[in-house]
Amino acid sequence: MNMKPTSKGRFLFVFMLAAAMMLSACTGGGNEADGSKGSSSEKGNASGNKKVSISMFDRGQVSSDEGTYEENRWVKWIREQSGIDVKMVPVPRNEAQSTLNVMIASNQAPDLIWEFDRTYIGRLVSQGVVQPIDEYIEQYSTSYKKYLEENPELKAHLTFDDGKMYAVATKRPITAVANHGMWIRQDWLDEIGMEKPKTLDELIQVAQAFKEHYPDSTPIVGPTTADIYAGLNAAMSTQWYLEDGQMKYGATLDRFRDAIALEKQLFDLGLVDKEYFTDSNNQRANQLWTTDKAGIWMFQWGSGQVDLMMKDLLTNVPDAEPVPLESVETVNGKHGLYQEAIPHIYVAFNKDMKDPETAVKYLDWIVDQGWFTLMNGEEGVHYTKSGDTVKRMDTDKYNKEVLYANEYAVLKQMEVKPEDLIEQAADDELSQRLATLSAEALETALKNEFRRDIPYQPNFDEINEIRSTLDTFIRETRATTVTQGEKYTADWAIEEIRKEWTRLGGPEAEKIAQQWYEDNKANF
Amino acid sequence: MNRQASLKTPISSKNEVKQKSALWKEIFRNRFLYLLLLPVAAYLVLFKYAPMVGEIIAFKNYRLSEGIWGSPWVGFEQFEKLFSSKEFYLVLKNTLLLNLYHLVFAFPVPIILAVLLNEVRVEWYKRTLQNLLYIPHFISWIVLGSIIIALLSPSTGFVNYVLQAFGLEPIYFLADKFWWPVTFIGSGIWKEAGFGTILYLAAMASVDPTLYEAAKIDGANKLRQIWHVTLPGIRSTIAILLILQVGRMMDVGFEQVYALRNPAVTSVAEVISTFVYTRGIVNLQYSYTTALGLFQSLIALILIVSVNRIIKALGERGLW
Repeated sequence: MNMKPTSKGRFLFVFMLAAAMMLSACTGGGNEADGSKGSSSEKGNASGNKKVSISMFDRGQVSSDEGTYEENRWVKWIREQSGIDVKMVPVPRNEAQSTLNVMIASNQAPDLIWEFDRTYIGRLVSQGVVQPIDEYIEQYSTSYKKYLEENPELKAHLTFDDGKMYAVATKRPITAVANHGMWIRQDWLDEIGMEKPKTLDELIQVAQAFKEHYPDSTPIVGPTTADIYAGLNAAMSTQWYLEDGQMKYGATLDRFRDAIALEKQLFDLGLVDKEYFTDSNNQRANQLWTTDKAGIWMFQWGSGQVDLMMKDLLTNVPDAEPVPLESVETVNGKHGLYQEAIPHIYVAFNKDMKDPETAVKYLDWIVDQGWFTLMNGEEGVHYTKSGDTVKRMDTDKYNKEVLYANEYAVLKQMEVKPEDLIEQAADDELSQRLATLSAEALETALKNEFRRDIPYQPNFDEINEIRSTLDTFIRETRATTVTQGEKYTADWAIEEIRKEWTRLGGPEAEKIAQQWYEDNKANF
Repeated sequence: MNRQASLKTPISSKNEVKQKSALWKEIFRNRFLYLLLLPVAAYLVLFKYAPMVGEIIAFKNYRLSEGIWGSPWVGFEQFEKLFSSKEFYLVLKNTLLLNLYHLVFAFPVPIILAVLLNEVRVEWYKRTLQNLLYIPHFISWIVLGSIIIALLSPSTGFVNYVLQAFGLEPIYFLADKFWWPVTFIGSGIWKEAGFGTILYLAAMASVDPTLYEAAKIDGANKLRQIWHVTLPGIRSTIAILLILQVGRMMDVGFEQVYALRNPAVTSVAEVISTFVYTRGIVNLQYSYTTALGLFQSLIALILIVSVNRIIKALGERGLW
């Protein structure tokens, strides 16, 4: 009896030792490879060791046999091709800003810091941790300088409050401008004999009919429902709007009340998942959609996760016929769902950066040639080229070997037309079907303009401070209104939010925003 | 200072010198022990005391680019802002309430469990049971969070399935302001109670067996033995753990709240640690949240000192 556990333990110990040795052998091998790579790149440029580090979002997409975000075939390729010893610094996607903040505070931040969110870069500007770059671009850049001259509309977005440029960015392709989107099951519509809804009332009627016909189902699900209610009513809670020439904060508008009212109405009618407040990772929503338990999906127009979910749905339910749903008309008119502003990724320069010239050269290399391979992979391996169109050879192979490399292409000169999606897709039936849907969804998403009264949001400490309290308050008030029954109405909610807004110094912020608007409107 | 004094008036401080050399002798005699102590002392100074200097940013307006030393002084401005804000009282109330519930409901559980385990006579059964009880401690809150959310789901969760089988209405535990704290404390007990028994079991093992024999001879039944022998035997352990627990009154672990909270229960679930995270780390209001942290530590210090006094007054050994 007693011997067994010990011998087992011994075996386990030996096994672990062996595993550890193997692991260290592996990493050792990796290091050697690194070493040779490093020296080759050194040989590549006589001027010595040019180094730059850049942040990136860790989305957990690198499979273990590809390596890590820091070391893999693409990083190796970038170093060889650009002649710059680049170091990737991954930060977890969902905690990106807080992780970067900690790195900055402890002087461990990379030379180049990027985000999609202009407000975040604005915050770094007001904290003084990134530096103006006009001179660097003027002095060192060729490719990006040319790009900026060709696309002057970007300049205003990259310029911050002191009139200096703090970031570089390229324009979004329309695939990245379009963001939120709705999907509906055409086969369900056919089954109940209804048309695609065009107004909000029709949408609710369809959802009710779905509920009656499929009692087990949850008619409306999705990760972006709240933003979509706000988008339909042109009242995103964190965005400024121009109301008769006056700057007003989205969360304080009557239209935002309508968005809350809609959320409550759908909840009370039992047309949404009653548990979406605890579904923080959207697992339930995704599960309901992919297992034939939901009729309307509010998420994004396509690509990435949408494709994966659609693939799941069509595999689970081969007869399913999901189609994109255009945004519907509300009492506040017809507005598009959330779309992004034109700049794609804002890359800012750490003030402690050692070698700005190399950083600019690196970005020049990316915008010039690097991005294309990082987006498409290797010719003959991942894509074939006919004329100007790039055709993907094998979707699964691409997803595994190239998709994560997209993260490295922070600047890109990419233009996409909806039909390109179909041409680029692999030839198998499912890929083609998904691509056709995506193309249609992209057109649908862009059909209606998302209301954006000013090209970018003003950035000042007062509003950032208000937001740090108000955002939590809005979420809580929404949740209370929606879940706590008749006592709490949307009118009550908007009153509470306005009171809180005033208490936190909202009127003062409005004045500052107004001033900012008057000062800057000439540039818009 | 001392050395100067001793140089000036060597005669009057002879005694002192003697004492001092005695101390050095003592240190020299145990030099290897002190050497062993050195790394730990260095660790404490480097990682526990040195960072305290950073607390000064509570009296500054800290900007990342200017650093701890360069940022301008603002005196008590951050504290004024803190004490005049509504959120401060909310997070303070939530933090204290959750800790109070913890003290009342969760603190006694490991003691009861330990007493029960101590009475188990079949050795292999006891061991297995103990190990099973320890396991939850090693599951991270993030993982456990999703399990709890799934388990308590009103539509698909097992708990509500059972409730419905008994003809009760399903309860949305995690979105209800009454049930959320219950779930919070309950899940805390489930995860940590087993592990908490370790110290008590160790204390019970050191109770002199002859005391039990004597009690038995005096005709004490099991309950009496527990009451008069076991519990007094672990009294000092309970006292020390109680002091430590009260020292944590101002502190609710971040992970558990972060994993279980949602917008519907913010008014009962926002505690100091989550507040500091959203305000300080996400929104860069470092000075403001440091002021809160400093206040929190100060109250915790007062609490721990007073409880230590009380415990001592009750005749137990305190922490110091």
